[in-house]
Amino acid sequence: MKKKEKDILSTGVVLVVFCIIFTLISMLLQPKYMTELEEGSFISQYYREAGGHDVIFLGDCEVYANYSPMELYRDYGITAYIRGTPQQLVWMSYYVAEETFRYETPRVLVFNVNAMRYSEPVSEAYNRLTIDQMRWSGSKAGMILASMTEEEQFLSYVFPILRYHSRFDQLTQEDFTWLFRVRDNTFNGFHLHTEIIPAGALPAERVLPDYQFGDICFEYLDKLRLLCGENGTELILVKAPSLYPYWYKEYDAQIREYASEYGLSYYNFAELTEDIGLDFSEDTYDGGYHLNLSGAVKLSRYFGSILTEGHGLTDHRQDPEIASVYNEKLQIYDKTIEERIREQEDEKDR
Amino acid sequence: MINLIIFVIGIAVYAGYGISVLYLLAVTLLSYLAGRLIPRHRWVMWVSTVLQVSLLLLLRVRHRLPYQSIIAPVGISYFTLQIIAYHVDLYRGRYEPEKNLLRFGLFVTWLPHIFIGPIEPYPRMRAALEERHISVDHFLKGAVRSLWGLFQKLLIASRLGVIVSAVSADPDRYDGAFALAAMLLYAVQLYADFSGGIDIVLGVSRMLGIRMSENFDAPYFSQSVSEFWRRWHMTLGAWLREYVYIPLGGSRRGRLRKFRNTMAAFLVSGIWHGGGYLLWGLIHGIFVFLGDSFKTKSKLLNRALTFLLVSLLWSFFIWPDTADALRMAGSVFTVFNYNVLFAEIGGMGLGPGDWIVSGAACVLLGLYDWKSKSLRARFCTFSPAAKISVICLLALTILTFGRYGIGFSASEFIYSRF
Repeated sequence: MKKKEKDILSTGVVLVVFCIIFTLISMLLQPKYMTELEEGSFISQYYREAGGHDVIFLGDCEVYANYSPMELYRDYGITAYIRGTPQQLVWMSYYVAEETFRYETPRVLVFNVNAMRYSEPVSEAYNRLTIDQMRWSGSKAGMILASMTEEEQFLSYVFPILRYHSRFDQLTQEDFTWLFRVRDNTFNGFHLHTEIIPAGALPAERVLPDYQFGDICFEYLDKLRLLCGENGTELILVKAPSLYPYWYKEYDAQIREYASEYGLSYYNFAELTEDIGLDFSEDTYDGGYHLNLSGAVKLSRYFGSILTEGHGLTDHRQDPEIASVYNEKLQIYDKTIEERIREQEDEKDR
Repeated sequence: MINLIIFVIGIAVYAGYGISVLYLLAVTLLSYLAGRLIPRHRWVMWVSTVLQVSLLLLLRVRHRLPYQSIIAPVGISYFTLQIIAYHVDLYRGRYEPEKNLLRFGLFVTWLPHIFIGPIEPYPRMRAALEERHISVDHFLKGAVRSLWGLFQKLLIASRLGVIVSAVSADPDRYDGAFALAAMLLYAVQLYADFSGGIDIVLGVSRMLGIRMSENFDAPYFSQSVSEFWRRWHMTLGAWLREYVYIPLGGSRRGRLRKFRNTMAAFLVSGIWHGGGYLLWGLIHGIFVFLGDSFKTKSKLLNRALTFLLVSLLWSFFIWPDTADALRMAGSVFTVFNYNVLFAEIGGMGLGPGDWIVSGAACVLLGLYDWKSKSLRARFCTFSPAAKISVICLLALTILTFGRYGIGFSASEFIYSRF
């Protein structure tokens, strides 16, 4: 082998080794979101389950805490997945929907409208929880560009080491344990909470200087509506029954008007708590901000009947292939609930 | 063609700093024209020099001037000294004026060095531009040098700066042991920042095929203050020697004249750094004049004492108010709060990991300085793959252990404000 060829070959080997080490270090330094801030891994859990869902939920914590796809299946045979992430803003929901349509075409897409109140990025930390573990595609790039705060740089999403290098002295066992693998900590996107913290005194309702949703929110809601239309998917707007932050009547009116203008269904469950049977002294795990398991079961049952009766979704419980998958999931789901309740009781006894 | 591209890119980058790019372009053009005139109209040198020195003086004495954003561009201290040297040399008839405007433009505005130097003599820059040779080997050597600069900046200077800033922000609370710690850490921070910046400049220039002057030669291994000044900011030292000290007579005609000339050179150095650094310059001048008078037989002791003395004098840089600087330097000898320092330093912004990284990086920097010439010579003998391995290793280390990202401004260098 000539010297020049040898040089080129050895340089190539060096560069390959560099790329491997660089990738490994980047992976090691990136937060795993397995035991702390579990919400950061929600977005990536979908990829192992993508396909075959009748209903996809989009939105912030008001979707992944409040609806249980397992209950929708148990009671109505509806196959659903929640692609919710913390503080998922309207444009984020749009790009998540765009990505979802690459994997499947659900019959219904449920969008929780709470995020309409935010017309600009909230914080880098929230952006990271949604974007970091998303697979690379035009949708991810679009989401980054739409969501970045002033201090953020696109490159730090491409090379996470630029953002997370300072974790070098904060690495824990979790970073090594979950370096090459992940575990599901949701049930089809539902984040299970069995604790009960009754609703107490909530912050007083503030008078806002302006209740009008931002143009950018409507712009992305339009895009979401058109995207659903192009794919033959029905878009349903919902507002979860949280006691706080307040869903002002001015907010509600704007969504009602929008839904009526485009012939969309809109369900404001905050107004239907009695019909749903919610009792905020036992159906919330954080004092009224989100529902716990008991509340989510009630809401899912209520919404399931709407989806079945009002939107013609099929009962898949007699489909052996789907049933075998979901029955297995239900077993794990029920077992996990049992364990969580037992742990809580043990803790109380201590 | 490459010269034109580099010039345009340089001006475009400079334009990012604001409208002062117009001043830079105007000064470049006027200095070029003045240079052409000086051989025939020698008074032009005096007019040009007086104007430029006056502006620099005004900027140093009065911090706010009318049209400050235009007439006080970033890097003015560096390119002004280069232009003055060029005009004085033409006046002395040392070489012919540059006829090529683009080449002169590059001499003044060469992007890598305009912000922090080195202060390049014109003949050297001209030769470098004429002999420019872009090659893979030069590129790799330049890349290593630049990365080494970034290593110093991001692993050492950015970290130590956290403690120094905390101490300097509250002189009433942090004195005595804190002040001493800040001075010692600042000495290292400033060196890592300035020398790191210069390494980046030299590295990028090398990647573009240009070899520029060295600015440091392991200054903290000096055994006296006068030796320190032969190893620290060498291009400024050379400029002061060539255009202040020697024209005044240098060391000829007795010790009194030598003292006067030394003090004059350090007075200019103090003024060049800013109006508040006069005393700092004069004290250094006294120690340089005294030369080796305080040297002991122990090299190690000499080095340690020189380092301590120089660090103590950096207090004028840490506390811009001269009274504060003197008070803090004095507190080192009067306030003994070392127990408080050890109890509190852990909570001043750096975690254990930061201390370990910066400590290890300082050891590496010291070892490199100790053997820099042989290490560089050794690196030249490496195969391309070995050179790329060094580059990759440095890049990985910087990316992982560097202090950068949100909340940090790695592009700001301490010496770019002078």
